[in-house]
Amino acid sequence: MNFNMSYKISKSQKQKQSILYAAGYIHNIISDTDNKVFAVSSTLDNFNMRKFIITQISKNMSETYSCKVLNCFCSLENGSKPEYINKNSVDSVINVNLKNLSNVLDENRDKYDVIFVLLEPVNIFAQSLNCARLCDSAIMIERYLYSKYKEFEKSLMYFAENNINVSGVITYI
Amino acid sequence: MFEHFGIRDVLSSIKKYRLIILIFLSLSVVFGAYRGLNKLMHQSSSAVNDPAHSFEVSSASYMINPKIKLDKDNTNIYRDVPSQTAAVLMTDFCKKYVFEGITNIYSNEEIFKNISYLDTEYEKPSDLDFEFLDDLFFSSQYENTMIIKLTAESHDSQFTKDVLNLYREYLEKEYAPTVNDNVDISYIDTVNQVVNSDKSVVAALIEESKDSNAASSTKKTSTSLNPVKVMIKSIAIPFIIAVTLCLIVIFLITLFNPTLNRETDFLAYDIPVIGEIYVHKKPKEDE
Repeated sequence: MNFNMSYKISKSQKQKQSILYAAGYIHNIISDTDNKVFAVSSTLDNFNMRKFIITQISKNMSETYSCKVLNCFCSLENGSKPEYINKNSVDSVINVNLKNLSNVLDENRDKYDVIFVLLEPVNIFAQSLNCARLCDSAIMIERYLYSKYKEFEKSLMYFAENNINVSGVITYI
Repeated sequence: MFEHFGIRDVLSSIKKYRLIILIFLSLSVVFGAYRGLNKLMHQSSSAVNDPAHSFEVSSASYMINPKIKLDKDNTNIYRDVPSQTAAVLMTDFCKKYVFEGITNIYSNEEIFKNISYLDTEYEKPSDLDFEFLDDLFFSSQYENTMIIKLTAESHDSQFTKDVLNLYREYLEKEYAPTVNDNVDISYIDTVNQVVNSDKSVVAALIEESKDSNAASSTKKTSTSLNPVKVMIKSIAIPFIIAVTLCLIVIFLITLFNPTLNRETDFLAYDIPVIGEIYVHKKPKEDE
C-alpha cells in the first residue's frame, strides 16, 4: 500500500523544470513590457552560476525568441582581459568590453528578441552600473543562505538612484 | 537588529553549516573518548605502580535480631540493638582482645611495618599498643536496618583479613554468648575489595559518623572508577559543550550577518522571484 502520493521526478528533470519556470516568467515580462535588454547581476562572486543559468534560460527561450548572451567585463589596469574571460570559451556567450558595449547593443538590438548582459556586482563595480544604464531593466541572481541583506539593499539602492528597473530575482541554493 | 532574524533563519544557518558542525562534534567526541581512556589507564596503572594509593578493604556483615517481644514499650530498644552491638566492637576491651590476637600472628616489627602509612606516635615496634586499631577498623549499623557492617583496611590484604577475623571472633565467641538470650547475631557475608583512593576508607567512615547524628554510616566506600560511567561522562560533557558552542556561534552569525533565505524575504522589497533554480550539478568553467 503506497501512502506517499507525491509526484517524484529525477534531479535533472527538477532542474530543467525550474529553469523552464524562470524562462516562462521572463517571456511574460517581455510580452507585457517593451524590455528586451536585461542586465544580469548579483551580489555574489558567482560568474559561472550566472552564466549557466542565463545560458540555460536562453536555450529554453530560443524556441520562441532569438536570444543573445553578452558577458560585459571590465578590462584590467594594463588593458588586458581578466583571467576568467580567457578560461570561458563558450560560443553562446560573447565577451564584450565596457567601451564597446553600447556599439554592440546598437548592432544587435534589432537582430535579437532578447539580449542578456552579464555584469559584475553593481554594489562593488561602478562600471557595471554604467553598463546597466544601457539596458532596459535588471535581473538579479541570488543564492539562498549566502546573499546578504546589506549588499542586496545596496544594489537595489544603486539601481533606484539610476532609474534602472529591477524586473525580478532568480534564486538558487 | 532583529528585523531579519527568526528561528527559521537559525535553522537555515544550521543547515548551511551542518558539515562544519558535524566535524566539530566528532572532534569533541574523539577528544572526550581520549580523555576517558586516559583516565581509566591512569587509574589502573596507579593502582599497580603506587600501592600507597590502594587499600585492601574487608567488610563483614551481620544480622542482629532481638529476641524480645515487640510492644510499644520495647520499640526503642529494638531499634538501638544493632548500633549498640556495633559500638561494643569499638570499645577498648574489644581492641585489647584483637591486639592480643594480632600479636600472636604477627611480630611487632611486622605490625609496625604494616601500619607505617598511618600517622601514629609510635617510634619503634615495642611502643605498639591497641590504639592503632582505631585507624584500621570501623563498625556501624547499615542504614536503618538490623545489619551491622564491620570494615577493616590496610595496605596488606592478609593483614586486613586477620584483623577482621579477630573482630569477628570477638563478636561471635565473646560477645554473642553473653547476649544470646536477648539477641540473635547471624553472619551474612564478607566482601574483600581493593579501593583506589588517596584517603583511607575507615577515616572516611569515621568522619561521616561524626557528621551524622545516628550511629549508622551508609556511604559507599568504594572509590574505584566504573569504566562505563567514566567513558559516558568523558564523552557527554565535551559533546554538550560543543553543541552549546555551535548553537551560540550560529545564533550570533544569524543575528549579525543575516542572509536572504526564502522567497518571502525578497517579496518584502516588492521584487518578484522569477524562479527558484534547483541546481542538480554545479557548472564547470567551460559549461
